[in-house]
Amino acid sequence: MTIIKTHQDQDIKVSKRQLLKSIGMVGGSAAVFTAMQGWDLASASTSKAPPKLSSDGKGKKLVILGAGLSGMIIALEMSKKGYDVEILEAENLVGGRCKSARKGSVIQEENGEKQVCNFKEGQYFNYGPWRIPAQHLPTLHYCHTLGVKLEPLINKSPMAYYYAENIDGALNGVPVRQGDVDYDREGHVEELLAKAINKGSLDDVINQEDKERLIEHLANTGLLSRKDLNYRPNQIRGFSNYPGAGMDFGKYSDIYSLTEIFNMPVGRRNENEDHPVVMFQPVGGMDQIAMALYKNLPNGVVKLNSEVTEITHTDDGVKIDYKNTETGELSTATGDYCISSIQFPVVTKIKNNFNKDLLNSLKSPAGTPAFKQGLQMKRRFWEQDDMIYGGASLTNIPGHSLTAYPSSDLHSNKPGVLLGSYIWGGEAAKLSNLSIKDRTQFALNAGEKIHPGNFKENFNGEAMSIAWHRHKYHLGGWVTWTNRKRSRQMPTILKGEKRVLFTGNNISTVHSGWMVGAIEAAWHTMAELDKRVGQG
Amino acid sequence: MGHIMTDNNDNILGSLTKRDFLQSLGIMGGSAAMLAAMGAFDKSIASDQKEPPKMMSEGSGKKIIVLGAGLAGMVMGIELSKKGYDVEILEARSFAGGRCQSARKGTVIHEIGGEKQVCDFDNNQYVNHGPWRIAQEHHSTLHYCHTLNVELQPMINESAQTFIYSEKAEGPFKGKRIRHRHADVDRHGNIYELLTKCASDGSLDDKMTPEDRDNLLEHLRNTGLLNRKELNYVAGRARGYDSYPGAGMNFGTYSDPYNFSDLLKVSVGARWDTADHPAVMFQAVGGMDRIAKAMYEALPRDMIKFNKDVTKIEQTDNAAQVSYFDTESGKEEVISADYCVSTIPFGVLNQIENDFTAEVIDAIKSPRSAPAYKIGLQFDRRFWEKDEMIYGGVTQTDIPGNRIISYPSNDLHSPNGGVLLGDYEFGANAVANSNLSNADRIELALASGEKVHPSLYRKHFNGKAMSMAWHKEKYSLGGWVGWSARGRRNKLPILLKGERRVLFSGNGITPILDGWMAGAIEGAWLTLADLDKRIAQG
Repeated sequence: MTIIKTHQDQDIKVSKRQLLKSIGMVGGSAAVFTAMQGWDLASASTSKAPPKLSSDGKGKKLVILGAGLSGMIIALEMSKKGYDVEILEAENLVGGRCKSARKGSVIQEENGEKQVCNFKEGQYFNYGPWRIPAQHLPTLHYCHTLGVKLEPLINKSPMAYYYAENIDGALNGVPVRQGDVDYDREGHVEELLAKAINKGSLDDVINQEDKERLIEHLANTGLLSRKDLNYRPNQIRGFSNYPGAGMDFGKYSDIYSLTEIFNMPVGRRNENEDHPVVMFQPVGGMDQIAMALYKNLPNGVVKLNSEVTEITHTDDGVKIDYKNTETGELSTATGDYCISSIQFPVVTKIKNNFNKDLLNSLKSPAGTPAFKQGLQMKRRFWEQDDMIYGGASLTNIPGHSLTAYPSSDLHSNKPGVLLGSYIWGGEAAKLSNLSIKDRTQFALNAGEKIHPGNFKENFNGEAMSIAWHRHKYHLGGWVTWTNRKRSRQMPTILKGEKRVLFTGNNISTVHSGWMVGAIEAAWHTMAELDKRVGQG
Repeated sequence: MGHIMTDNNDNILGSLTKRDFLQSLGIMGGSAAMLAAMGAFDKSIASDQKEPPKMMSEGSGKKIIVLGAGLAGMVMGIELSKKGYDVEILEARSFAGGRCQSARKGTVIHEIGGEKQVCDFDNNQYVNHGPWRIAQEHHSTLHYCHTLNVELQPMINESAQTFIYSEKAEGPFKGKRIRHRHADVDRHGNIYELLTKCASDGSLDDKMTPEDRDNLLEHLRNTGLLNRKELNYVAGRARGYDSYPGAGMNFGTYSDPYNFSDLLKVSVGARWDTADHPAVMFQAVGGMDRIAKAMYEALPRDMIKFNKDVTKIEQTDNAAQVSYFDTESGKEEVISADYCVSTIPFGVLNQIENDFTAEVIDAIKSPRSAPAYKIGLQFDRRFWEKDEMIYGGVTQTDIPGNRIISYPSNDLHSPNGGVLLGDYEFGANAVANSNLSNADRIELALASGEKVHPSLYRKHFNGKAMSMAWHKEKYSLGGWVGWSARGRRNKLPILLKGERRVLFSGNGITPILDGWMAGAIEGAWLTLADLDKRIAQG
């Protein structure tokens, strides 16, 4: 076992094998990626719209496995070109992992207790994907063209907390405002650098002119006093006693000492470009995207409750056997082509006649354990008492990582559903072994440390959790590739079989945990199928 | 002494001295130590107060005249009438709200000596040419939004996708726009790398213990900006991609960091925003004037008398008497009351005839009206979103007279175009811009915008614009008043004491929050408490 850091600054204990796979997802070496650029199956990801298809689909039957985003998008676009499409979906609801839990929603993990959601009317919890950055043009393409209304998702708030336990010093076990810590870190860093430079520390590293400019820059950030370059209480960190009218000029908050601030392990990592401060979410729940896709499909295209039992392909067609999970009835769908968007760890368990190389490749990425917990609170105490509107408090509590505050219904008197925990990797696997009741208790205990006196007090007893790796039709939040395996095995998968292609965010590179990964994969596969059909 | 000419030499501002400018800047600067020292003064009231003060007095049979139906005046009206006071608000304009305005189709802006502007924006769009953002710590503003059901939405104040544009920088970045994210991450990455070098050559040893130094290095290593082994700054996921990754074998390429030496020549965007300007703030859905409108609707009917231009304020030991004329009918009237509360900006109030003491008159003249200028431009396409992935936030420049461009947070993702805040200036630049004709104001904004968004800005401008120079608006004469640290220490207490029967309110008595709606509301709350005490004491 070893320890890796994720972008949430979270220690996750994983096996070496998992580690290598996870790194592919979290880190990713630009050099390796760049080396692959010339590969002819690569498609430009900055495309804003689906590929132009040149083949005529008339008289061609396409069987799509899975009515998640990628499956529905392929059906949507290919049916426009005259293809006869049929989607087999094992669940009784479309969307794949693009789901939201609201009153009446059911979550049932394999061998798990059945959870029926009992949130108040209008309240929901995005237990699958939950945020869209501005860079994800393909996701925005469908939101815009299908009329899915978006609202800001506030991904970071300076008023949210960092909480670290089992550390040295005064900040141990104390929730501290993120803005305070972030500014103190920068302020101390700037002061140390300014003073070291003035003492001649970097004389052999930077020239005199740059040195002067750098000092000028540091003096201009507003964190240091211009005179002596000391970091001190300031207007950027803000007030502890807010100013008011008359002679109440307020009081700036005290800064944390250098010793305390660099002892704090939480929140060190700069967020990635695709996790900016403001992201987006559909109004009313992320599943609005899935619903919009579904509504735009030709009638009767999706067959729900249809669990695929065998995939057979020949030189000129496909035969898919499936079982109706409600009636037990067995059926067969045939077509000219089959596109499977089923997660690789799931599809490899289905009987098939794939070639060995391909099967081996499909088995090479791992399903990533991912766990989310939603908790409904009677009152939006984080807004009303703590001035926190959106964002997430981060902790080093093992198995916790974060508590995110909802960006929907901001300022309302309604209750609110918090993301009480979101974790992946080894800790997610561990947490998911708890009973539903113990999962809730775990999230409440963590939350109570961040919001003492408020968190448990305001919990209204309604919670929902999901361990994606324990869900029969997903077996993971996403798949994780190692760089090495990806460079070796992905081309085999992209080639597919003669009449079967593989898609879904399985075949996405760095977007495997995102909706955009599913959409880009669908576009990629569509273009490939178009080419094959066009060539006869 | 620099004499600043207005376009028609009407000397609205008089001559602005260097000291005036420093005072105007007091709004933004402010020394913590000095502020802290003043905290104990007995007139202070807790500002993180979330609700209006509890009032003891019985208002029945007591009449109060409030001058000005801006936020402060209307808050007085709302709270006093709840206690049974007979309140009459005199408002010089034909509408309520003071500076809490939004320009939308039909809105008229007519500055002193200026051309009349009638707003013709399409698609129900608007520009908040007065206050435009609410910080989460402004409890008082949120109190009225919440209790009066003003719907709020996030106002995205900062976006890493926006640009920094410098034409003063030497080197390759002169006249070249760069994304905020790239400048920010590069600045931090290089600073972290340099500091690791200082940490290893012993030059921090007198500043910190070896344990602190190890923790510092561990921290820097974990920021994600440095290569963990070499500790040098490298391209990575925080700075992001040049060519975005996709499906299959498209892994994307990280963008290359800028040369630090070149980047250091750019000083735009170096300063961190203050705590009351976080990345996400709030605005009223449909325009900031919804707050004024909600207050107006919460007031008893006819409490506000519109078009009443106050000409004289007088008092006896027991009463205040206010003379005014109706700007529509020209009719002159005089009314009296037990007390008068003036929320008129001090720069305007000091031009109204009165019988105040010499000390009060002097104190009213102490703060300086701050020149403030805004221009809104409508575009037929949200090119900043669709073509440049910018949703809200502010582009910063050093173009003289065009400090910022702010992208709207309303109608995000809409296909119907949008109104940009093309510029927001204060101080000397606001004065200079306001001296331009309306056509030239628009041209200045377009020329600047075109530099930041070449071939998009002019192309998509639909010809509709509205600008406002608050210092040339007859009933405001400034965006706010700026107190010097000395002025607020010596003169503000005199204004807080008020006259026998006249009290002074509005955000002029709220020196730190003076440019904010919270300043107006908290100013009103302070005056309410004072009035309550006076009346309770007889």
